[in-house]
Amino acid sequence: MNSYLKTCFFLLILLLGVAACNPKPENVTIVPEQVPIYPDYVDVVIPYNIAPMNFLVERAEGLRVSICGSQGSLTVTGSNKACFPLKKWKALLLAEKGHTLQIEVTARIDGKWLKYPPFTWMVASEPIDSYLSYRLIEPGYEVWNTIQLRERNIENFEEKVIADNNLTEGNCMNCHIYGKQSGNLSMFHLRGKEGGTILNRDGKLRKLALKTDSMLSGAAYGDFHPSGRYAVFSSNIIIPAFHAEGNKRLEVYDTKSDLAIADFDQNRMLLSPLTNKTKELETFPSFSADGKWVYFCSAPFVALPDSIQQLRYSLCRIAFDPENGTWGAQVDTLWNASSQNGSVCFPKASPDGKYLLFTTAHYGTFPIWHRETDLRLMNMETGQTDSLPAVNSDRSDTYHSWASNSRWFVFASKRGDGQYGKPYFAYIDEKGKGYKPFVLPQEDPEHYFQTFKSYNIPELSGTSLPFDAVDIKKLYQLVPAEPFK
Amino acid sequence: MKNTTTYRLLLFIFVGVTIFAFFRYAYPYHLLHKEQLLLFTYSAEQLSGYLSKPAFLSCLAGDFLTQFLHFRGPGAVVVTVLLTALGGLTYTAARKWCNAGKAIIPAILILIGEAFRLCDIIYPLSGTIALIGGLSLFLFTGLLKGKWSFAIASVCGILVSYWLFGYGMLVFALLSLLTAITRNGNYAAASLLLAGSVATPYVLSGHYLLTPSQAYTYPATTGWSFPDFENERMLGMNTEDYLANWGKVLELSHPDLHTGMFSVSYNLANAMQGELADRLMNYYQPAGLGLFMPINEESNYLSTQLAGEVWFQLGDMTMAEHATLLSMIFSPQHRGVRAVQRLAEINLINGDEAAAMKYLRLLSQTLTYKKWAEERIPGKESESVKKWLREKQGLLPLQDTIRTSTTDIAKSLHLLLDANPNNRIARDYLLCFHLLMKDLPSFMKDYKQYCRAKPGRLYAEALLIQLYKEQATGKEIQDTGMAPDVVQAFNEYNYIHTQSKGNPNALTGKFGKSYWFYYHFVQFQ
Repeated sequence: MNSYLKTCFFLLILLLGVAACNPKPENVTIVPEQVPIYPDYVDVVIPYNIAPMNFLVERAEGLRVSICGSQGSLTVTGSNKACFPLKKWKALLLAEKGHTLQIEVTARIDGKWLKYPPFTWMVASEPIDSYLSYRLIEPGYEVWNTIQLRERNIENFEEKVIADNNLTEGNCMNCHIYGKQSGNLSMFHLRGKEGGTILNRDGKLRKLALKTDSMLSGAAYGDFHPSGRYAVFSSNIIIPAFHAEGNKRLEVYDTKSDLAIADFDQNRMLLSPLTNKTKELETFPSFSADGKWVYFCSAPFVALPDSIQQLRYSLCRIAFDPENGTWGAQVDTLWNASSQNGSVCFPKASPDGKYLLFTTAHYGTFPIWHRETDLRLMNMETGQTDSLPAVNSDRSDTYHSWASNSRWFVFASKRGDGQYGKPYFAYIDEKGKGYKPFVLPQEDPEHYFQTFKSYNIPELSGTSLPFDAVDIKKLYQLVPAEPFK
Repeated sequence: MKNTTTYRLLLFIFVGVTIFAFFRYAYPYHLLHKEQLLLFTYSAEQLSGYLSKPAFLSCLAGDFLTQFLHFRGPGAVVVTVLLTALGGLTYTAARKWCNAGKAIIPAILILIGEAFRLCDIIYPLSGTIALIGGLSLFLFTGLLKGKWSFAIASVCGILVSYWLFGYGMLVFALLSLLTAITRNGNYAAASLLLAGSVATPYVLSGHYLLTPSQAYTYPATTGWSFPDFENERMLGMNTEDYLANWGKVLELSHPDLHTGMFSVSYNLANAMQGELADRLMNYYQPAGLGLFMPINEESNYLSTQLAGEVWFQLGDMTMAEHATLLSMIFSPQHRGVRAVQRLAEINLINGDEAAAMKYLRLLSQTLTYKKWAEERIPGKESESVKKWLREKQGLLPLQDTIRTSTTDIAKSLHLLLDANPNNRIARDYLLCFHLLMKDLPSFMKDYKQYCRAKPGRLYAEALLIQLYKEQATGKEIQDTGMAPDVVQAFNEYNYIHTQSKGNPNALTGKFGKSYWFYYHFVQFQ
């Protein structure tokens, strides 16, 4: 066989292979049911700078997906996964900013080509912050073996590990949070003998011992002051407990909890008698957008664990004077747990100060296994609370973080398998209406089927973090924690 | 010459057959257990995951082959083939420096040493394949004749072999270095090889997020190991527990093995056969720890796995799921088919089909568990699965409460019994738990609440102690329905006890396996 024949033979095999991989739809049957895609990206609002929304159709043997907009279109084929090329995807979304895309899916299932009713992607004009940090950990139970904090560029699929407990003697590390949605202001708690709170301000890393004799425990849940000088924390004595009914799994409650503000410039903790009451539990503090208020959750102490269902947290606020570093003299209740018959967690003010987003559950302070847990949006001007019906699901929808333009937020939801938390993004229009959220796109849409990790505490940021896991390892091993008084 | 070659071949065959026989007949549970600690799915995500660490090829090949350890015969064949390949390659490499007679010695020693390492439960097949890879690459580069072409290939080979074979690179570098010195006299290349092999793992440790010590040994987890037959027996009981081969569990149990895990497996097997109370005193019982494995900071994935088995059989799915998840989290690869199967079952029993599908979908992507998963997909369950589900769901507690600790055992068992008073296993566990904890008032209370039938020997013995303490009348004793010979034996026990002034040796022969003896003489540590 001469070389010419060999080349032809090779090309023929290649063509046959390509044809076999991407069969063309023939004898297409139009079906009325909604396309069974995973993740559920049907009729969602997306930012124009999001990574390709790759999806799959289970049981499909062939797939043809067309995205049609007013300015252009994009068609991909595959066996059961629709994976869009990054460059073409970016160009299409940029051109379609503010418009609606129509997606047509034709799939071969059990040997038959089926064409499903098209669905839409509304491309919002407002971008979402480009970076998302999260902690990857096996779900629940307050134990860990391997933990990583990662930062993902959500405009593509790049991901970097910002801390890995394999490099820090296996110790626990709590979730990473940003200040002002910026990679230049962030922190997380690194536990263990050489641990401390890792503070990143403009790339300068410090390790802080945020615990004084006046505090119940080390700093736990926290939030940055807009100035970056302060952060407010809770200190909690946390007890895990097990439900008897299988689906409820784990309950976690505090037997004590107080609040404290850390002053990073003067290495001191600022306490207030109003947020350190022995007969009250105070937790999940966060600053208002202007930094003049601290929002937090507060509940009167009840006998635990027997009265756990009576443990209900109200949404409160107290003033803070950043000039003098002083707490206010009065606590206001914004959402009363008794009258609302529920319990509040994680209040987070939108950066424009218009809204307060929080979680409600029937009771308690650990909503991740409470199926009824939903997000609520309070309009700070009117005091009205929206139940965000399009955003919430029948599983736990909780920990949330705003984008810097206050038009997007990310939250952790257990929708789907009910076990593993995943980051979902939701759009809020100018009138404060929430839209159906979509899960963080992955290069391989099968990713969420394969992983055994929950995405904890997703947080948005406009810029990337200036450190990585090796920097944290060095900080852990070589730098002593700065004491606070 | 021909005879010598034949002898060497026969020696290899003999060692190979011995290894096969050892892993097939003397050490089968270790191999099975290795397989159960792994979840190998045919998915792009799994394959791409291997690129995040060194030893990409050896880990991929090792995990692929580990699936076959599920089958006893083929599993032993896989291990034998890998080990003889390692021995053969070592022999071929050694022949570069010594004659055939001498080369056989390191080959056999390395083969046997690696077989010993594979006796460690968590030592992966990829550890062996990494060595095979390093040796193969060395022999491949050895085909290059030029002094410098060999040197350049060897230096490049360090990076390639680390990427493909992890610590197998050290074998490759060592042999290449020896070649550079002894055969080529190329000391410059030798220096480069030495520096490259020492520096590569350290430099790349940050990239691969490994500690330096992990970077030099990846993917191996064990430096040295020996066969541990007690451990093999324990793994056997653990595995047969899971497979519900209760007779086999009892066959593997051994009264001289005084550890909690053996007692828990033994008691579970008896409970499943309705004989927990009858046989409780026949075995070593470390108080309540003979019935329930504790879950605390000292637990390992094996003990947690066994803790989950007990709760699963009792019907407490919350505790079973908790233990199973912890067991999976703390297992070497943090994912294993056995845990995934159990999590699927637990969620099916709880009626959480979405959660069950998460695990069933994964199992349906495996070679060995595809059929198992398909039989359990909600809506497509086989008849036997439906029947099994109904039975299991009948054991679930009906009321919710919260337990602040995994040691809140009595509360958990009460919930199960309140929901289903016919849950005999839960009833026996509750009563036997009280007895092993010497908590007779609680035993008495729960016995009255949950037992209707005449007491068996163990319960009668315990009742007699408490009734004696309460100075019960003869009629009250008669009303319990216990056999008169138990009362006679009790009187005899007390007589001997009094006569011997409490000397346990006087009672061991006839009453050593009575509850009275346990109550009197066993001390908690």
